Amino acid sequence: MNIDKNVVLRYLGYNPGKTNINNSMQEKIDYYISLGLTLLEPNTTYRIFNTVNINSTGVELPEADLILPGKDIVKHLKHSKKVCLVAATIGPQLESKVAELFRQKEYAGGTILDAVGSDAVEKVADQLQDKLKFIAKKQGYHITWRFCSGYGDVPLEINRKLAAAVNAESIGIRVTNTNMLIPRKSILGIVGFNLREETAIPLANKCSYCNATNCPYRNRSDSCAKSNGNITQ
Amino acid sequence: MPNLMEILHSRIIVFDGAMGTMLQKQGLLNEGCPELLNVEQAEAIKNIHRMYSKAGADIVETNTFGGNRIKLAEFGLENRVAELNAAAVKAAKEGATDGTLVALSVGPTGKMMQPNGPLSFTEAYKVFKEQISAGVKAGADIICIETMSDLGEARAALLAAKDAASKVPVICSMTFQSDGRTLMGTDPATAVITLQSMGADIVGANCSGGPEELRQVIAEMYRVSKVPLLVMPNAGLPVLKGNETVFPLSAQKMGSYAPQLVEAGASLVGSCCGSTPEFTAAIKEAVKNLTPPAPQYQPKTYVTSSTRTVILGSGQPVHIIGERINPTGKKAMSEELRQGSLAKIVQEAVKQVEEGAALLDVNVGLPDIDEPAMLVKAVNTVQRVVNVPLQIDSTNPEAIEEALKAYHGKALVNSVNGKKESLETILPLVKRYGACVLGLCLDDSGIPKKAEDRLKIAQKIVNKAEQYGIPREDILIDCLALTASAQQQEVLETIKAVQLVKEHLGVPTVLGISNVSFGLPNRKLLNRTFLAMALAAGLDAPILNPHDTDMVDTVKAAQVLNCRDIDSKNYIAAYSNQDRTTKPEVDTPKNAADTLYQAVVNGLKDGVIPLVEKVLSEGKTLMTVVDNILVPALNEVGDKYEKGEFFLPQLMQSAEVVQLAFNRLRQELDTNNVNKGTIILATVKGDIHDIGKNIAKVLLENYGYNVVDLGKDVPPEVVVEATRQHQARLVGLSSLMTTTIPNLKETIVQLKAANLDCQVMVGGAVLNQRYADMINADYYARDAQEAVKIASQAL
Repeated sequence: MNIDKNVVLRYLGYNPGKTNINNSMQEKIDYYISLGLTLLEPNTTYRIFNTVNINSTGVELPEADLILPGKDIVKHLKHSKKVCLVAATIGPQLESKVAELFRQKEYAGGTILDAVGSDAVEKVADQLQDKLKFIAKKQGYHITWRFCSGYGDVPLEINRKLAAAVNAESIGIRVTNTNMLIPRKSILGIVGFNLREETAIPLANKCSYCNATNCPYRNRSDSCAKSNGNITQ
Repeated sequence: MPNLMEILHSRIIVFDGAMGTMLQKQGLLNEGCPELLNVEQAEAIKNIHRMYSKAGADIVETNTFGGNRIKLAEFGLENRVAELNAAAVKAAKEGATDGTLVALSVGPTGKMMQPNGPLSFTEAYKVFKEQISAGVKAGADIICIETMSDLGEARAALLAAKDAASKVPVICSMTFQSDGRTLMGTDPATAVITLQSMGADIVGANCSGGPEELRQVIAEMYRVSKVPLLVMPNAGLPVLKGNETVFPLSAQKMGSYAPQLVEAGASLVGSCCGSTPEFTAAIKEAVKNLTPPAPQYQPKTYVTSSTRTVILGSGQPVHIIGERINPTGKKAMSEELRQGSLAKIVQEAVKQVEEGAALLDVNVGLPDIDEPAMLVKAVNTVQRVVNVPLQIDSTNPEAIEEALKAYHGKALVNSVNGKKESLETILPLVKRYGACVLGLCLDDSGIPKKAEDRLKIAQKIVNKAEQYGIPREDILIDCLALTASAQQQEVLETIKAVQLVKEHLGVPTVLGISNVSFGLPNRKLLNRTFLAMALAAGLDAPILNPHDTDMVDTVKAAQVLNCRDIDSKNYIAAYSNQDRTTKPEVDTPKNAADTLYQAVVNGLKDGVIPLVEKVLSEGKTLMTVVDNILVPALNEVGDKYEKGEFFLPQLMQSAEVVQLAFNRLRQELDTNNVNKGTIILATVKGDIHDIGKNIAKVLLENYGYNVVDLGKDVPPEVVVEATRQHQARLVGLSSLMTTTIPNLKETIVQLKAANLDCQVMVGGAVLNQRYADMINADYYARDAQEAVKIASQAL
């Protein structure tokens, strides 16, 4: 697996053409990317649902006894014949190292490592996405991009049911009472299996699903910095 | 019962077609577990086998593709592994016509293997062994490991098969994507090389698109295979018809492809998804007069990672083996290893490959660590970050074995030597895990002085290895460089030994270079001179430090001169555009105060404390240090951050420097002198994302504020109580997500209700000024730097 240094830099507010980084900072970033790679405990799981009921107010997965409410998820899945719920995590090791670094007053290191974790969990989920693409193709389907709870008008409150439906606990993901994921660097997502390739277009700009208009990444037209799909308004 | 391997000398073997497609056609394949049908619909399963065998299949595959414990657990059937596999074999035996062979289908677990996922080699091995033992016990004639995407998982299954039933032939078949690689990135040649070395009797490709796609995969496999090849394509690529997906290829068309598949190198032909007994009949008819293609295999020294093959030896390029992953003489790496951290190893791995290493030596030998566990961790971590083959370097046989399990390719084991004990412990491991081995020319009497005697030891190692069933091409020899300072006479003996080994044994030679210069000045000069001499003598793979660009350059140059870099292509590519400009010197500040200022701005922690002391000794007071040096420096950093010239880690690094400086200053005077006021910080109840709050805390402290950090997930009452107790006039609250905004609001309500003389600033990813106004916050801080500005206004 590769951590994308450019993405890590961007998460940290690096502005190409403006930000100047000296060699020792470059080395520091390389070091924490390396350290991050040693701390990953990647794990993923998924479940494919063959029955999908879509109406204008939401998407129902009767096998999971789950209704995903909102216009955005309807738009996301409107061409889907099957729906796959996915969960991915990098485990707790990396974030406890971030906390340890802060305690040791290695603030720069802790900050960098946290950003490495953000990219890592996306990469872990992307690996699963590749596998799903393969599985779907064999069945004659094309997969959509990964829509995560909290995107657009899908509320985070759905996390608990979503986690239960995909048995996220089996890979160590827990949902708090306030619907946050532990480990923090975890993802719950929703992928559609579509028959026609042209309906399964990749997502060009995640920010279009986010209402955080004040977000510096969005304002710089960069990719989003949020790791765990929990982008909300 | 006919013997598969014998028949394969005379005719093409026909495998059956899809099981799933047939079950689906009969309406049996619903949401349930397909393997359960072996018990609940045994007649239907038997019938499918019968149809395939009557259509001409020499081999039928059992309905056990997902018959392993992990897959069955998805249906709560993990305790019925033995029963379901046995029933499947029974159904195949009873269903198929006499003389048909029964192959136990073994599919993947569906779990990702380490280092990409949680499944360890040992666990995968156990899971596969359980299934295979049950199938073989029930009478399976062949084990067919199939549709594998992960070479590591295929290796685990293969070893389990060989251990469960050493006499039963094992097929190992992978599935490839349209780019010609498996999902995990393995190319066909690497798959064959790795699996045949580990003892697969037949290797193959199945699923993965139609016959046209697989024809190319098989052709690539054929170039390097010494075992027969199996191919089982799908009935084309699935296409949409109305609202249904169908496999478009007809049985006839599949039949017409079969001879092309044989021509490409396949000796066993079947079909996969979308196929029916009609396909089997068409294939049978098409191949009935064909004979299996003779192997084209040329013995070569192949080492692989899961995604790349490197060929070593005469007629091949010289390949550098990077030596840097080794704690010997490296304090920082040793220290990290003792603490269980491998960050330096990852860095060395990435850097060495960037600098031109084609293989990496991995050694974690320290006297006081659990070497087997650490070597596994290192191998896993290194194969996660680079795709070059690894040389597993240890003197501990247990560590070597564990590393060979974890490694996903065909490794090079470093090393065996001429001592009886070494030969008897290392060579069986090399054989079992299908690795290459590096033999050192030493034995009980040490390293012989004379080249001829080193050749004798090399000869002994090669003979012994061959006795263990290790092919000669999998053996490499290290003639051992001695130090010129102590044994000057013997340096040339090493060079001569390289020539003799090449000439008499024909095996590739490897040589650790840097030992030669030990104890002499300008070691780099001696190293690269010795390297050039060894390359002239025919050295195939130097073990060296790729950071030493002179050595890497020497390798590139020597390959031109000894005709290993054909048409000097690599040399020209490397040097035609070389830029030799040097970087300008950076201005250095003049006095201690300036140096301290620059240290803060540039985030240089080293030597800050002596620097503060020097500034103080030059007569500056505590407050002038703070007000005239540290705060202005921090302001400059803050400005740069706001303009985007600095990014977050630079802000944090400067903060680390200032904190060190403050800690030193506090020893001189009362802390209160620099206390500009107390601020309470908390991440609100229900929220666990506190990194932003932690960053704000560091900056506020650096500006001299007394920060009381209440942590994360803090209830409103605790915030109110702390504010009261510390008489804080500013409270900073953070919340990352919408779900905790109500708690943020509630905390503000309670603070206002308590009638405390304090103001509230809020921050967090989902917030903005509008939200802040809505929940009655006094300030909105978009980042930590802004929090500092707010603090200076509010306090």
